Amino acid sequence: MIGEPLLEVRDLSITFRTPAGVAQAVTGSSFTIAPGERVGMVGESGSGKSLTGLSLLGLLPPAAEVSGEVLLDGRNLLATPERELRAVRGREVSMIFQEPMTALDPVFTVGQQISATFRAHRGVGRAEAKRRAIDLLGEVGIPEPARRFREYPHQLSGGMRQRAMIAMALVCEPRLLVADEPTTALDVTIQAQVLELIAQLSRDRGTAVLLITHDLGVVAETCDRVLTMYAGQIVERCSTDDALEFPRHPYTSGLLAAIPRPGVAAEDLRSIPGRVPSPVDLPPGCRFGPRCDHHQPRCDEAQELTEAAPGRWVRCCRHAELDLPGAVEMIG
Amino acid sequence: MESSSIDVSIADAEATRIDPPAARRALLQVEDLSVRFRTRGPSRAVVHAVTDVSVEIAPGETLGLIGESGSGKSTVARAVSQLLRGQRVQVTGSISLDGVRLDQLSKRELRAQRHRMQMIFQDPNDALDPRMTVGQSIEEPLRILGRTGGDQLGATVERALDTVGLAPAMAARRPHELSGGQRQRVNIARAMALEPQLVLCDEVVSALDVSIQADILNLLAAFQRERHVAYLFISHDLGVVASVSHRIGVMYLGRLVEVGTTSQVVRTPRHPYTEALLSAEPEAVPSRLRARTRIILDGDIPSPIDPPSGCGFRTRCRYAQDRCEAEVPPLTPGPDGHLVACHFADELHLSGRAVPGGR
Ligand SMILES: Nc1ncnc2c1ncn2[C@@H]1O[C@H](COP(=O)(O)OP(=O)(O)OP(=O)(O)O)[C@@H](O)[C@H]1O
Ligand SMILES: Nc1ncnc2c1ncn2[C@@H]1O[C@H](COP(=O)(O)OP(=O)(O)OP(=O)(O)O)[C@@H](O)[C@H]1O
Ligand code: SF4
Ligand code: SF4
Ligand SMILES: [Mg+2]
Ligand SMILES: [Mg+2]
Repeated sequence: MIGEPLLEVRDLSITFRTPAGVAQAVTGSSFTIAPGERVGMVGESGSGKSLTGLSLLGLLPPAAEVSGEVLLDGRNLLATPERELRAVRGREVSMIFQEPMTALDPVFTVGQQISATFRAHRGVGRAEAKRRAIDLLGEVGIPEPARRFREYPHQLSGGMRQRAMIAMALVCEPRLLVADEPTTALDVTIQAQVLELIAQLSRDRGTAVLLITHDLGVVAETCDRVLTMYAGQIVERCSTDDALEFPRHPYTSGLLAAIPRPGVAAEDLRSIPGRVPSPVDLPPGCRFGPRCDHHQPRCDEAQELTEAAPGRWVRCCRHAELDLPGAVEMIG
Repeated sequence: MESSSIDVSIADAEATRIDPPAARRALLQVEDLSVRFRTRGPSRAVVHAVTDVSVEIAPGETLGLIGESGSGKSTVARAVSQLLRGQRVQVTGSISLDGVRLDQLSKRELRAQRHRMQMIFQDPNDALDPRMTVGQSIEEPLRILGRTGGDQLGATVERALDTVGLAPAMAARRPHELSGGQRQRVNIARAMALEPQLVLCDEVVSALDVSIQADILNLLAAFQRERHVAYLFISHDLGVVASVSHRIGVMYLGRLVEVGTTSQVVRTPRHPYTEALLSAEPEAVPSRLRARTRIILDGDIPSPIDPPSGCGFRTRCRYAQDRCEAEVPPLTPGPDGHLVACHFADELHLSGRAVPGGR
């Protein structure tokens, strides 16, 4: 994707003090997203995906200690006072979550909530706000939007609630949409509807999207580029097709070999041995080292994210000499 | 892929054996199962959770059940394991395990049959008592059955843990000291220690990370190889179901709409809903291998309180015609025993997944 990045994250680190020691939840993350670009972030549970997403809205929990820069159009959101951040949220950056009820208020109708947002952020009158809210509900694919306008969140199905939340997030036409597992709780046919909606938004309005998911299939269907996270670090950053076809990091390759798919018998699925390390007790060298089949003594030094080919970044000192299987080898 | 091509021929053989009526007796035989729930509150509505489901599972076979949330998958499993015996539920039809009519047994008689059939659920936390150690959790059902006593029990627990790749020391741990994957292994160990002939697996890997999923699926496959156990395997994830199943049943709004070998259902679906489901399932492959147009279904699954007349799928089906509103399509066998419930199955040319390799 050409063009100046809208978002540039530089060396982002997030830690927590816990009784067991300092938890390194995110370490040295750097990435960019251009207008209209859809970037996926994948990784196992606890790898730091949601915290990264929250940091883009200045919504980290108060206990988090954060360093680095989150630059939106050159302005560092990590150094922006809360009062000014409030204007950024919604207007420039919006977030949608796995559970829509976290964003929708159960005591107000969907219509009240969306039109209130219109009035607050766009300064339109009551009648105009209602008209626009109904239009927007229709635009995100809610049937009979005028009727749904008067319903409470609990009266909507899961898929429709997710759409209503997306509609809320879109009121201010944000330039960046952070979607944290937006379809994980949905059926695949509804997931397909919601992913199509997100893709359409970025195509038609030029909205930049960070799509957080544990499902590489969702990334494959939706995103131009992908960030693979392991134990708080980006271990691979490249185009989605490159990650799927020619993974350069053993962890990315390992994930691809573990995905159950038609054509692969259960006994042929390969799991990654061992467990994700605790964020308070990370290996000093390569964080994936204890689970990696290709481990060598030099892997016990801290690994840097390095450019293996144009646009292709890998955190593994052996990336050039390894020939790792990708998705095609799995199904072939 | 050698082993999986063998599996396909086994699955194909099984499919032809099952229809016309099995030469060898089915292990599980479900006939015309219907389940109705009465809801609480003033509305007193009736939920048509499962309607006219008939299905068989052979010894050592895996039948996968797939379908959207609310389509009745778990209700089928709960009816099979006789967990639906209450005032607000009406169950009709027959359920036989190895020739024994489970639905006609008293609670007491059922207890004597329990070890033949076990159930493993999605949430590994729910199934284990937080106050018991892992060892006690595994021992408990064995003790109830009077399988063994005293010292021997310790050895049995150790063996059970070993079959799922857990160290003997784990026996002393409590559930909260285990990871999600370890807890699911304990559940499997507990179920398998009884040496069941049939295990009902309801979303057993849905809450787990993909690498741990692979672990658990490997383990279930190994048990089947070694002990010839049969599975009813429920998941909403097509990849998961396809990787473990010999045959797949597709459910929509309480009914089975298609049943066939895994390869039949995935490569050459005969029901429009199956086609849409296959098309919607995201594929983790590079875009050059994904050159297909997606079928995006409109709307949601209708309410089972007030299901549409005729074909349940007609409100979302792009091939629907007048007849679909008037008549319920029965589940009918087509070529090679591939069952489908659609009036136009013979005329439609539906697209499936191009699946290289085995199952
Ligand atoms: N308030 C907190 N205090 C201490 N540790 C925290 C806190 N919030 C998050 N963490 C830790 O930070 C790490 C990253 O958490 P995060 O929620 O970003 O993971 P994730 O990748 O989104 O996982 P999931 O896929 O489960 O949603 C985890 O190890 C988590 O335990
Ligand atoms: N005890 C109950 N009382 C009333 N309705 C019920 C009860 N149990 C299940 N149902 C309803 O029966 C239908 C089938 O539910 P079931 O749990 O079998 O679906 P499922 O296919 O397993 O869905 P999921 O994928 O969400 O687990 C649903 O509409 C559900 O709401
Ligand atoms: S640096 Fe070494 S241990 Fe880490 S992923 Fe690369 S090969 Fe494996
Ligand atoms: S019977 Fe009619 S509505 Fe039902 S699946 Fe077939 S074509 Fe579609
Ligand atoms: Mg998260
Ligand atoms: Mg269920």
